[in-house]
Amino acid sequence: MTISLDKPIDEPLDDPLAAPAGSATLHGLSSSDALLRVRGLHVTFTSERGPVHAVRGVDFDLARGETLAIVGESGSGKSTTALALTKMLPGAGAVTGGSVLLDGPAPGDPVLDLASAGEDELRRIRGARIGMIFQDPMTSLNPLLTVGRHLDEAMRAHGVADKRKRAARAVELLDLVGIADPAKRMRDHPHQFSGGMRQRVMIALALANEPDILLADEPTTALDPTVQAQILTLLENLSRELGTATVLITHNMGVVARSAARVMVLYGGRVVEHGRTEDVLAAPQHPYTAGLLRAVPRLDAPYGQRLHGIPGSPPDLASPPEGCAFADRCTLATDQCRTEQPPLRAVGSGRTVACWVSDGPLPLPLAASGAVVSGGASGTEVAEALDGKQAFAAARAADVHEAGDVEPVLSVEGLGKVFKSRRNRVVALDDVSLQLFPGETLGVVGESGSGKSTLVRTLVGVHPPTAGRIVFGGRDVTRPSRADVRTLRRSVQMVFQDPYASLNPRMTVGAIIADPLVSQGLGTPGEHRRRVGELLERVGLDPAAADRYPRDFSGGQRQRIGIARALAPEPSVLICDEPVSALDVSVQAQVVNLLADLQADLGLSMIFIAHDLAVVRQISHRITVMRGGRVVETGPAEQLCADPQHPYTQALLAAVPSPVPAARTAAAA
Amino acid sequence: MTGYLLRRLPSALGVLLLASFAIFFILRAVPGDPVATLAGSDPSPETVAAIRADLGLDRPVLAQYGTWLADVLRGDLGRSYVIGGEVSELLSQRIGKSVELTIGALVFSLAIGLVLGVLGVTVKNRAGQAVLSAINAISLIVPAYVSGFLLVFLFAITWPVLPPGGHVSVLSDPQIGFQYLLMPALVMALPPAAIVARYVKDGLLQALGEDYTRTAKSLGIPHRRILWRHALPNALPPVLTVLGMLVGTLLGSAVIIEAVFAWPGLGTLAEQAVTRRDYPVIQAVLLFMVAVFVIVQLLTDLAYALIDPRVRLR
Repeated sequence: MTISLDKPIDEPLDDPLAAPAGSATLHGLSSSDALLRVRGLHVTFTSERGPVHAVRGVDFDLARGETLAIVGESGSGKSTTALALTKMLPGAGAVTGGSVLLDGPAPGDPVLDLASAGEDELRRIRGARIGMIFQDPMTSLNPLLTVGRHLDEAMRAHGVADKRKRAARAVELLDLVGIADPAKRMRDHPHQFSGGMRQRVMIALALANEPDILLADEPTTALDPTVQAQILTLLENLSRELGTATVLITHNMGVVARSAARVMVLYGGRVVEHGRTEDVLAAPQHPYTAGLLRAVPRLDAPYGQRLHGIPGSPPDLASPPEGCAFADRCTLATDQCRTEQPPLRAVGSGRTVACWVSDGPLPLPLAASGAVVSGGASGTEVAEALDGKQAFAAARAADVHEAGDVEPVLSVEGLGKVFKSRRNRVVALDDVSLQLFPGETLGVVGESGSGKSTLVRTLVGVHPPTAGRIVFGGRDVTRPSRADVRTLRRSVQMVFQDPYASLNPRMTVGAIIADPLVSQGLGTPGEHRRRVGELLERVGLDPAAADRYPRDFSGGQRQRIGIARALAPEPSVLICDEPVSALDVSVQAQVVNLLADLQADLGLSMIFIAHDLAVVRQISHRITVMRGGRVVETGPAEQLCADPQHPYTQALLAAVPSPVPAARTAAAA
Repeated sequence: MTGYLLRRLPSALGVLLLASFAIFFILRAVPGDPVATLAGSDPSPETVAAIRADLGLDRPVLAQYGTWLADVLRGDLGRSYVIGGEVSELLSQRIGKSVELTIGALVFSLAIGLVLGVLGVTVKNRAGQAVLSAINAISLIVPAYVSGFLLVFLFAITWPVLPPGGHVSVLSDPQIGFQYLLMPALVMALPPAAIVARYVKDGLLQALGEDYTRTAKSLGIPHRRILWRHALPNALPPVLTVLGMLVGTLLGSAVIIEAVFAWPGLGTLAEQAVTRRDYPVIQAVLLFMVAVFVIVQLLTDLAYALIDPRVRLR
């Protein structure tokens, strides 16, 4: 079905809205006052399967100085929308409809439609009027150019002819984004900066020509939580000082709550909900927004609460659904939802929702503070969920072992690992001691460089430790014998972070899952087949999946396959290294729940490594916090998060942005 | 950097030693004997024995190798059996000419390769791409004796603008010297140029797909500048590696090209020495080529570090 472009979709946006005092929320302006007006934006990618309609009619306005967040999961079209604004789409993508109207630099200047502008015009806009920041600071800077040269190129491209002037301004910019000793660091190359510092350089680049608009595409996703907080603060301060309007693309509701005045939720290439952040996050009206918010693990949620995933997977935009894109995954969907596209309708001041069914705020899970947003439809659902939650939490709490209670399955004493090279000596692990009890989940949390990956590699025998002892099942396996290695290979299994890279694309799913059995010579081919079927069912996949290849599965499904493979040789210890970091929240919740269930049902001992404390808290009995190769704090999960003792744990907890807009409003007041 | 070179020295010397061993023994395993040339037609066994004894060829091969190696280490490359004169003198007359030709060929292959590689990325239409592929394929597969004669026929005979062969040093007379250098260097450069073009194109395509290229584009930096200043340097390291290895091929192809263009370099010398089994000369020429190759590999590594600040020489 097509969307008529002449329809006055912008009407709801014209709804005047009282801007909160002292904030830069200038939305709801009549379109003539907006700096950027996007109308009916369509983006299509050509693919072997035919055209993929990635963005299907997106409208929004952006006023000078305001921050608009665009949220959604992979494939929602949020990044594509951002890239399409200045026609930065990769080769196969093209803007196939709509307009992107950018006001002239001064009042009275003509408005330019970027969607129909030529490459030369766009080049003059990019970097000068619209700056961009990208997700991965490690790859977004040219490794062969100095930071000074990067800034120089950015200004040179927009007619700053005087080289000395450019150099002076570059130093100024680096100083502005908080890089110490900027004059000296100008001569450094990107690899000499940390991830957070590189993102600061990216920001300096994007702001070099004082653009009116900053498009920030997942600017903090690749960063550690404490660094994320710093970068968000920097962006907030800069946009306030320079009056830059910001479009913040993110999948992180916490980031939205913290930084954006207005939020637009995308699903299946369309806007499903749009409004003031505090309204949308506190009382979502679209089932997808509500589902997304329910799926986000929160530090203030009751401990041991199961996460709520959204079953199903996003629509295939090569053949977009006739009706609402979310209908297939929506519990409230009616026949109308499946056949007719819901229009965006105004539901309050400056607020629009595209849903046939929803009629007012939808329920959110209970926060620890006790604030329940009650909705009409599914009160019983909430109550049911609560029952389950409490039972789960009780079981969780009862499972926490005191040291000395039982023999640990795996224990590590004074573990040390030093990497030496000609000039460097890096202490990756320093006196690390841990105990993993039977049937327990131990969460290991730490930022980059904390030593958590080295810990895992040392545990599974990739690196021999340089100090300390590893005891498994009562045997010292620090220097394992041949027989020990065999036992360990069978009893300790891993689930890896990247569900795309960790499955061999040329093997069938069945062969992948049976691989540990085959390579360890366990069982016969007939037994393998049976076991594969069993395992697939166990992880919630169709046993028929065994004959297909990984490419046929989504990220979450692949992670299930990875888990099935790890379970194949009936391990007693499962080490999950950032198993959900690469997944969308709605899928993350499902995988976390699966792991929790497997752990409980099979009596597994699990080490769950992640950088997201909120996720780790939900699944773990105990948590160990690592920093700089050392354990800084270990304790029962709930207690550690509620009452952190070590300043670093406190800092880590404080850095996690909560998806509760109230906190933001309160802080701003 | 000096420290790096010093650390690399032992392995470089090891390669040379191994090469000297291989050269010496393989040469003697090949049928034929310098004595056959020196003794004239139908010699008596006594004459042959006398010549063999005179040249030391009657001693065990290993002992001969020991003597030769000791001499080489002292800087004495020996006397030529057949061509006559000190080997070091023969070499020094020709090294300069060979270096001139090789450097000329390297410069041409890099220049042609860069142009073809960049065109491979910038030319979008099908016909253009087809022409480029054809040029690449022809450069790569047409043997030097064919392309050489073709060029001589065209530019020295049909349309006599260049000398058909011979040598004048570029250093002594740049203008005339270049005219002599142009055709042989070009012929020598063609196959490597096609390989360089391929690496440049692949490297550029990869660099243009990287995030930093997107960053440059988002800053409004003109496409041409992104291509040459941002992407190309990132495409160069693999090109340098392959160029370093191609020096080996260039040295090998010198034998044919020098013959075609009557270029009095090491290739011609090697050819004369091989047909007459003039062991000391062949050994010296081959050992010299190996040494050049080893040095070029070292230079490649240094160039890597120069281009890419992330490369630390260890």
